[in-house]
Amino acid sequence: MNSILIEIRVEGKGLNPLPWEIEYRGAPSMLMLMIGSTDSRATAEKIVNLASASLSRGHKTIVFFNAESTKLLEPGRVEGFPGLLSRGVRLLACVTSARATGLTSQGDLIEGAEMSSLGELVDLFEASDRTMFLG
Amino acid sequence: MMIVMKSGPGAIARVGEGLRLSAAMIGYDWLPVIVFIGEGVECLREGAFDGSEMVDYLKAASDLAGIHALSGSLEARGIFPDDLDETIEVNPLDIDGLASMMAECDSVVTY
Repeated sequence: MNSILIEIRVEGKGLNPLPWEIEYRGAPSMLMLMIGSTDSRATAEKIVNLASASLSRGHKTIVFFNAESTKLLEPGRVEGFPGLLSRGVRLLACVTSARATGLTSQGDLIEGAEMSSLGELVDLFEASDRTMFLG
Repeated sequence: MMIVMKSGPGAIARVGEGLRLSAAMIGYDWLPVIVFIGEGVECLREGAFDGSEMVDYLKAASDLAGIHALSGSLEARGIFPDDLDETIEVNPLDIDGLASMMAECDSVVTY
């Protein structure tokens, strides 16, 4: 009897990475999305530590700042953020939340951070392999 | 994705962020599961947000995605169906139902 082997493969996400996505010790490189919503010191520390850990394993990392957490993007507020930016992490601020917390333009944010929107966040939900809400 | 609303009307900024996120998701045809628990069920009382844009967000979420409330939280606060905003359709949910819905979601966010 003849048999046919059919392989169905969903490419490009999670545990089925494309070959070029396998960058770090053979592990798949993922897009990690982290979302902050408070401006507490604990939230800032979680963002810096988790983003650093994610980068060290070769993952692309984006942090989205929502609600009160946009205050963390004020220049000089969080020591670890410039280092994350220099390593390629994108720091995005919800523009509506930023305005509500007194950060009215890109110039009010730490250099390298970007104004964004909840619309872009929804797109990132779809594109990311892992989403983490950090409080 | 599940959006769990646990903040009451007193934390209007936090409630607003959760409802704005749900509106953005609905706008992109990505329907969230919205569940009010704990103090959050107070947001569903008649008059909780009188004159606020929160009412419009709640109505839109109710019409387009559906709104669930943990029945145990409603009971604990003595909130009966007649106490709820009649323009918002609220589906009571027990703890097992919540757990099942949560298991089907990729991620859960709380506001």
